[in-house]
Amino acid sequence: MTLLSVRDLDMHFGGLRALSRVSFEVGRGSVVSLIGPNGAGKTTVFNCITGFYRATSGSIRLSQSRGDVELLELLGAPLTVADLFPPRHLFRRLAAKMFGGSHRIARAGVARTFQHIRLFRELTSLENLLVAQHRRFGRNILAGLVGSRGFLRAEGRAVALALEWLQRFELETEVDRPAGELSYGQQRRLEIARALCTDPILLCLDEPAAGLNDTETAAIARLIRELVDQHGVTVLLIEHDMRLVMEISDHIVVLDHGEVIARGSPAMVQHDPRVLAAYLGTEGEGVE
Amino acid sequence: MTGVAMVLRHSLWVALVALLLFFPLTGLLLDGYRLTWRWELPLQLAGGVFCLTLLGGLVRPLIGYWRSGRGLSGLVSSSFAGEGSASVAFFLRAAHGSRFRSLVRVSGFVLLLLVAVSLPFLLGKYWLNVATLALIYVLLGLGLNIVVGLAGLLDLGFVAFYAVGAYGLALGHLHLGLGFWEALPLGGLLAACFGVLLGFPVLRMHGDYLAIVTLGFGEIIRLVLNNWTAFTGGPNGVSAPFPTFFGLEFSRRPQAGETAFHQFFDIPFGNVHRYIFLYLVLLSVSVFLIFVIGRLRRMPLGRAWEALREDEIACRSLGIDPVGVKLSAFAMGAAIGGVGGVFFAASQGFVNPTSFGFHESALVLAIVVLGGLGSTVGTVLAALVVTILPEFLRDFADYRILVFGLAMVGMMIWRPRGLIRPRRPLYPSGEGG
Repeated sequence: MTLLSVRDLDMHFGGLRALSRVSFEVGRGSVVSLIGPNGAGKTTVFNCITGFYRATSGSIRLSQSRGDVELLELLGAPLTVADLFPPRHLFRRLAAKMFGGSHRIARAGVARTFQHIRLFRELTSLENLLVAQHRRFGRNILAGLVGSRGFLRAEGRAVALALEWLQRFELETEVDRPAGELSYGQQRRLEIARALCTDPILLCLDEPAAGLNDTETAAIARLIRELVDQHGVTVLLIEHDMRLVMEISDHIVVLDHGEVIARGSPAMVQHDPRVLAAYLGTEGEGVE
Repeated sequence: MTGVAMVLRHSLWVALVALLLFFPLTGLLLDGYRLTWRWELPLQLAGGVFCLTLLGGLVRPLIGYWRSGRGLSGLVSSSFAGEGSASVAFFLRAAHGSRFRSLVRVSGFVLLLLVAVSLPFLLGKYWLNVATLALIYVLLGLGLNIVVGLAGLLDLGFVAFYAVGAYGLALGHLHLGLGFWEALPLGGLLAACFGVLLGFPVLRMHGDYLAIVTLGFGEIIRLVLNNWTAFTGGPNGVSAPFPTFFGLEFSRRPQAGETAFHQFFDIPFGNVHRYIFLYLVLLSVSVFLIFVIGRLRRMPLGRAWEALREDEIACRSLGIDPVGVKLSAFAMGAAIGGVGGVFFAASQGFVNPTSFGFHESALVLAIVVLGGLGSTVGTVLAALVVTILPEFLRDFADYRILVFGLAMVGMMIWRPRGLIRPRRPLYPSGEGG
């Protein structure tokens, strides 16, 4: 079962071709890793999927319970002449243009973390998780102002869920501490917990183990595996720590110079000569 | 005892430094060509500084204990030094836990409110006006605090919304015949619309760029008011109506067919009645808005504002629409500023563009920053200090700015993040932490 399918993704920055015809698939309930040398375009792929970049061309389809959705459409791509007809299509494009943006992708069920941690540093750990659950509350401002029963119940549920995740990520002692005061490892974990609080169907982790020591890396690996096995989350991962990648991945996609050079199980990828060449360089003539 | 001795020594040093500073400033007198000197005033000032420092040094540990959440138990347990201290502390903590603190807070709030309500009946007209102006600045501070303190959008043109509110009342009365009570919500709404209007073009801007654009916006509003003579009366200004008391006017001789406040209640006419009334209305609006802002901070919208201040990209990654959040912050802040403007126009009875210069924006921003960005209590406190302190210092005339400057310098040293550090809302089930 495919959850996410990326087809012929192109990304150009002016004349620079960051990605060319990148295609891969992410199966539901699996861990897929994107690896490759520095500058291969891993984070660019991430930014395209999560809507922080607008891909030049290609398609990124996410299959939700209520049908497939084209993520690139949610971004509100520039209108073209072809969009003028039929009217329903035009209306959809205009709506996407007005209200589109990367937040729509998050609402479609794609959550992410960042290579450089981006927490709300002045807010407490619990508040960080509550911000992520904003959609759990009704949109009725008045209900919140008077503290209606429905609002309080929603708040209670949100707090309970946040506390559950905090416990799960061994942060239960840091509930009321500002996120900026936490240790580096704790911040990494809190960021993942925050992404999970949006109730995603696809979780994109950008180097979750960067800057962590061996013990913490092992803990993160265990956590990711548990999320997939017990909570039914699907994980797309960028990571440089090969031990972590080989240990938890079901499927690996190798990028180099913006192109997919290999795909397959960890064992297959490990022995692929093109992957070795990309990482280690080649002797004599190049592979391509 | 060493603690007290240390505080004493520290205070002595501070007093000595103060004496050295104050002597040339206040002790040397130029008498013709001769320089004479006197010791009384510098000594008195240094003595005052000594007393204040001593008091501060003695009170601060108390506050420290209080704020650290241990309350009385912390103090008591620290003075016990035996085996049983832990159990005693535990017992006291159970007795004086969060419920005790919230009781103190609620009773303090009620007491403050009582003082605020009884204030206009005790003050003369002059001080009543000062108090009204102070409350108007409280409103402005609260409004700007949403934009700058919570949402983190630096707005240097906040006075524009203040002007929109004030002119909303005056021009609404002139052109549409609106009274104060209609203009109060409409002025707020109008200012909110202007807030959204300003918000749209600056959605992509941050920091310095945003500050410059908002600064320009403030100036545009002022210049339009100044130059569109046919509509706004230009520099001559417009008069604004006074609120009525459920239809009763506050004038000595009401218009034909109307009853005045003093006639209805059969009391002698008092010029101060209207100001007392305005003050009380202003006070209730301020208290209401403080309550609303307090609630908002615990609601998704308020949390989104703060999250936006911390990191916009992270907000987007969580599905928060930054456009809506920013516009709502601008609109909400502007609406409160507009309400402040309506009150300003009503209390002055007259508005003209000179009241809405950049100086006002800077003053309101100073209030927000002094209060501690994001703290409601701090903003209220700073607004009161910034408006009332100069009035008290009128007696010192020559040293007014000196004292004000000293206060600022002191603040930057001891409280660089503002008078009150914003307190994070805690959640009942979060007590496990």
